[in-house]
Amino acid sequence: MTRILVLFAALLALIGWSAASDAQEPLRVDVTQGNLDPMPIAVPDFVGASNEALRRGADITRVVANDLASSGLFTPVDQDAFIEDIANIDLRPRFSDWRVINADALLVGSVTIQEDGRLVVGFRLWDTRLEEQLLGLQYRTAPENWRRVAHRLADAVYERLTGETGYFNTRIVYVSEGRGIEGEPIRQLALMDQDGANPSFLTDRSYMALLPNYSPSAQEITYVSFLDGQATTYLYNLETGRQEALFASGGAGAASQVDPDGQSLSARFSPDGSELAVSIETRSGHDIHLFDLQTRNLQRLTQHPADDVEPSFAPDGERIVFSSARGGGSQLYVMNRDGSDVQRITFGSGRYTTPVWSPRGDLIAFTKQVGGQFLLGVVRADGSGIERILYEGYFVDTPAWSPNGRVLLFTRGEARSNGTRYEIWSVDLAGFNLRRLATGGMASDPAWSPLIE
Amino acid sequence: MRGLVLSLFVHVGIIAGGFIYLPRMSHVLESAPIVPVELVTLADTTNIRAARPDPEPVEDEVPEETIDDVIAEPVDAPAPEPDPVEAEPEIIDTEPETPAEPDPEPVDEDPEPEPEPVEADPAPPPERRRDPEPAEPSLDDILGDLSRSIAENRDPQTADDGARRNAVGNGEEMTATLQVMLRSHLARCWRASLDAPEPDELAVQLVLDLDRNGELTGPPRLTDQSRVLNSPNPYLRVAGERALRAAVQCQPYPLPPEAYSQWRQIEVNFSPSLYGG
Repeated sequence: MTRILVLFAALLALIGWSAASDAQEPLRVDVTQGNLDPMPIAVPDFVGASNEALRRGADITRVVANDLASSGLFTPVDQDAFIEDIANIDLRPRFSDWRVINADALLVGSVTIQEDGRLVVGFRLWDTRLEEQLLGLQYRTAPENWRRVAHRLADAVYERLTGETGYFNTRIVYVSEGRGIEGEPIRQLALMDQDGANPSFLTDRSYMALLPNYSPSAQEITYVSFLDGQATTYLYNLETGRQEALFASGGAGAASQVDPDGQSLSARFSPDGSELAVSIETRSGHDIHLFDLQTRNLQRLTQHPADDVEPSFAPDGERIVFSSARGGGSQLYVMNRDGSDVQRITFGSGRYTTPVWSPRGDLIAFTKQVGGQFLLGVVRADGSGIERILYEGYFVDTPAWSPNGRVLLFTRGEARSNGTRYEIWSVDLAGFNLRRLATGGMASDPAWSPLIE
Repeated sequence: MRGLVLSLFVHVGIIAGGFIYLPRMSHVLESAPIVPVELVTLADTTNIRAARPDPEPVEDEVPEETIDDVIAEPVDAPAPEPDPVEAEPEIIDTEPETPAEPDPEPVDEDPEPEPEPVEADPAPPPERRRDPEPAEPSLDDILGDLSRSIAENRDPQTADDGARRNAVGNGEEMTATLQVMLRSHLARCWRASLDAPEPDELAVQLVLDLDRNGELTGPPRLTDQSRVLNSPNPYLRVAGERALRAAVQCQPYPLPPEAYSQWRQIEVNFSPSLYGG
């Protein structure tokens, strides 16, 4: 009898096993490769109650769509393809109408002009696939700030869809390059919005200005001026227009070592804006110095017979990268902010110059000269891993990071029959989306402001 | 006599198996009607909207439907606007004012009805664990008897059994093929977060339920949905959304219908690999 029971149990077990084996586990798939295609986004003209509001709405839409497209991460869908006519942004869109034209995201907005003339711009960002609102915000501003609103709006959309902060509400200082009557080079500092709007000159044609760098407050820049006939670092307040020459020779401490006829180059702000790292020509060659903007104290960080130049702070302010010929050819080195623990981070062939620490902290951008070519690349800040080359060309110089660390601006020179033509171009971290910056004429030496609040 | 008893048991067993198995089969088919319970929330609005030429009538109810809290957006959650309108000479004063009321509608991911709660039914395994106790005939004996008896009886059910074993064999080969097909299909719809700072930390896992046409029978679900979508790391949140978007966008999934039982439910691991491309 037990035997029979056992058999029965065995049978049941068998049935259980076969049933279980048929109870299908989910099919498991690992997907590691995706596409890097830009996300299609539909941006219908913002609606408004008056003609003026409608016109402003169309202006804002244009700026926003242009911002998003310029990032290379979004493709605005052609407005002619739209099916649904958005008349009220407080209605749920017909998502199928937007999916059918392959818009993954839909940005609808409205413009209201208040009685006091102020502008109210509201928007909703929809995910057409998941049929959800991703973001809804409203901005209020003086009417003349409509471009800033458009950039902020684009930043909000960018941030919501990519996870990283945007960089559209920013400005760029650069050197506008021209020729005088007798063919002499003219280099003036110019300032414009990131998209090329609102250009203006900061310096006049009477002296050469080079190598601007932004303060973290976006209200000051440093640059190198030839006002006195030699390269001298100046501090320029963008609000007041006030200028000041820095690192005059003489004085106590490290300042006494400064060569009276020497150069000071490329001063960059510390992340908190209180100090400058700068390479100054001393009696023993160029060395990296720290300059306290409050106390005006100059502190020497390197004392190597070889030239140490082009310092740039890590975003945490604790480390400084610079280029130096101390190992033979010019290579990149990283040290603590007090000058200790110097470590070489590049070992490739060629001359490495112009290191700039990424605002994200993980990478350092550089230019490199190998043979007859110039390369723009990035390397991990600890020197590990391989260099990534983003662009290669006839001439490359002065990389500058976007405030979110995803895009690099750089000076690009092209050989022409009448000499080299300089322009500012941008490229993203993957080496894609190469674009010319919308400067009026020839331009070089870009400096990218932080996000403007 | 013993043969008879055995044969009896085999038949009983197979019938019993049928009782366990067949309801489940019918359940699979029913799983389509079950899930729309889920869809109602979505379809409710979308279908009606699609059918109607103009959306006017729904006007008032709409703001409620704008579901900010699905994403639990921390940024624009500060809905109440402290209106610092005046005294800002040049800088834009922008108040993050969510136009839509934060809405009490529950997030809809978890209440997904599991299509096969029946799997819990096959109680037999515990039985099996119990059976060694009265261990006087060895298991080998029993199985030997069993197979002999089966061989003697040679009825259609045993043939059936063989067919099933065969199908399982095919399935294993098929699995690899299905995985390859799915991988390349999904890669087309998925925007990998390769440009984020630490892409290897942005892996997310998704479960999809598909009908025979390769369409989703309900919204795709992130394993760990609330951790991902409420993550303080915005890149992880976006990675989760991109995975969800890819799963929806990739419909219909072009998979062989004859292997439907194998791809009825799919678990996808989206893990951006930095130096893969």
